[in-house]
Order: sequence, then C-alpha cells, then structure tokens
Amino acid sequence: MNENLNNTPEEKLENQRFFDLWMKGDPRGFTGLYNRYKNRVFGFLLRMTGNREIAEDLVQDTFLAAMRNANQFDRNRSFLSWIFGIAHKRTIDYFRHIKVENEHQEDAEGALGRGPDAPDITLTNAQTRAIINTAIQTLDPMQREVFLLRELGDVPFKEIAEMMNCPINTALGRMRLALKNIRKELKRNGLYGMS
Amino acid sequence: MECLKWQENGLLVVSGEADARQKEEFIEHTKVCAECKNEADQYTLDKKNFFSLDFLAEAPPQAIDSKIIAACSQKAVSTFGFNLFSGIWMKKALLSTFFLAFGMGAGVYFTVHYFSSNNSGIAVSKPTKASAAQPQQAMQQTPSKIQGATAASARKDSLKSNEAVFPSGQKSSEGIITVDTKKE
Repeated sequence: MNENLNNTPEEKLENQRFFDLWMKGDPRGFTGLYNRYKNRVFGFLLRMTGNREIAEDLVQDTFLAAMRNANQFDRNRSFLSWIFGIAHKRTIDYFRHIKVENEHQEDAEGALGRGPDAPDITLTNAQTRAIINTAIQTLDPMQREVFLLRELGDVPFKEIAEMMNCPINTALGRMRLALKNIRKELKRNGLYGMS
Repeated sequence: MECLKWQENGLLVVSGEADARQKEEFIEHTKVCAECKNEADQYTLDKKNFFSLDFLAEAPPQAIDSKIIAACSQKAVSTFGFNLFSGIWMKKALLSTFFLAFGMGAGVYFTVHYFSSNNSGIAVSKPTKASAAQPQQAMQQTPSKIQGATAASARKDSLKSNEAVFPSGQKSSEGIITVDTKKE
C-alpha cells in the first residue's frame, strides 16, 4: 500500500510537490494529499471518538483547519504528523465540548463494527479488524491516543509528548502499556493462534 | 519485574527514532535481556500482522470525500491570493492604515481651513475692529463738542448777566447800547 511508505524521502518529496501545488491553487495538490492520508486520519478519528458521524464531522473539520492554517505548515516536518496534530486537537476539543466519555464507549462497539470494508477484504480480515478494534477500544483513553498517533499517524514520540503535554517517558510508558493490553486482548480472542 | 529498557530505548529503536548510541545500546542489551528481545520481536510481528493500515485505517464515505475536496480545493484556489489579506494581522494593518489616512486627511483639512479662515478673518474682523474703534473716536470727538457746548453756554450766561446789568435798549455807562437778543 502506498500509505505504508510514509516518511520515506520519496514520499516527503512528493508531499512537498503536492503541497506546493495546493498552495498555488492547483486542486490536484490537495486531492493528492487528501487521498494519501484520509484513511489514516479517519481511522484515527473514528477510533478516538468511537462514533462514525462525529468522526465524519471531525475529518471535515481537520482538513478545513489544515487548509486555513496551511501557511503555518513547517516544511521540515512531516505532513502526516502535522495533519495528525490537527486531528488530535479536534478530538481534544470535541471531548472538551461534550463530556460523554461513557456514552462514546457504548457507541463505539456498534460504530466500529459496521466499517465500510473494501470488497476484496476477506471474512478473516473483517474478523481480525473487528477484534483489533475491540482491543483498541478497551484501552485507557491516554494509551489509545498514544497508540493511534504512533501507529496510524507515524507521529514521533517526542511530538506525541508535546501534543499530550507530558514528558516523553510518560508517552513511552503509555505506549508500552497499550501494546501489552492489546496483546492481552488479542490473545483472549484467539488471534495470536491465527497469525 | 519488568525491564524498563524496552520502554526507555526499545520503543524508540523499533520506531526508528533512536539515535546511533541508543540503538547500539539496546541491541547490546537484548543480547543479555530475553524479555526486551522478546518485546522487540513481538512488536515487529504485531506491527506486520495487526497494526497495519489494512486494519487500522478507515475510508471515509465518498460523500464526505467529495465534500472535503470541493471545499478545500476551491478555497485553496480562491484564497491563496487572498490569504495574505485574510490574516488577522493584515486586517489590523489595513484598519490602522485606514485610520492613519483618515487622521492625516482630517489634519490637512483642519490646517487648510485654519489658514483660509485666518486670511478671510482680516476682512471679517475689520468691522469688528472698526466698531471697537468707534467708541474711541467718539471719545476723541467728545471733548471738542463738550468744549464747544460749554463755550456757547458761557456766552449765553455772559449775555444774560449783561442784560441784567444793562437792560436791552439802554445805554450803558460806557455808552454801549445793549440789544435785546430775545426780541431779535
């Protein structure tokens, strides 16, 4: 998958080219960047909020905010980290706005189960995806945040620590616990035997 | 007891964020710490099998895609040139420039008005000065009028006294015939 090439020099160059096109007003620039990262951003927002409709709203907010603040983008940084920083802020704002932590935990199970799977995804993949989603949802919110920022956004731990306003060791500790808990959940669902 | 080397260095190494020293240190450590080696191997395996984008990423609905692309692409086209003027600082700068220009305009207007009113003020203030001077002129003219009036009344008084001494039509002792002015 093309998205797996994130942060390679080739991808950085291509991102810069897309970004320049976007800044020049060429619609291909934004479309290129959007198509490249939309799934990651939407996946992050969906798992963070646990609600598909809210994630849809937030993904729009994220990209609109990116467009408004495009002139603030530091070209030395990864575009993905930057867009994830915006998505993370939107999520935090959302949770600040409505304090329904318990409610979204309940909604999450229903919303994540009915994800729009690509037609070529097999039943096993769908099951695996559902189990992984459940495992992620069982995580402590802070652990989930670090895990998703790192695994989906490829955001460096240093930047995650800045985003979460905590020392880097705390972010690393949360990641260690997240991995441990996910593994435990995957084992409980028998997924380790399948891999 | 869990080894903290995995948390401190291991995660940075497997994420590609560790520097050369940290990387070397951790690799050396895994040679003697089975727990950290196991963690590193397990993470590599999990990342490959479960933490891939196939499982973690989600495609947004197509309706959202087209909405976002339409909004962002269009605005990028129309706002790039305008971006310079849409910032809060640019708005402030424009507002300041407007007030500065307004202030300068007002300054020029009042200066011109002041000088023009000064020039025309001479003509306007002349009558005022003249009217102010009138009482002075009147004051200057008054003494002569008063003097004249006093002299006339003095003459009248002397004539009356003469009449009293020498009634009209009678010869005075010096042979002067007085004339009755009243009858005349």
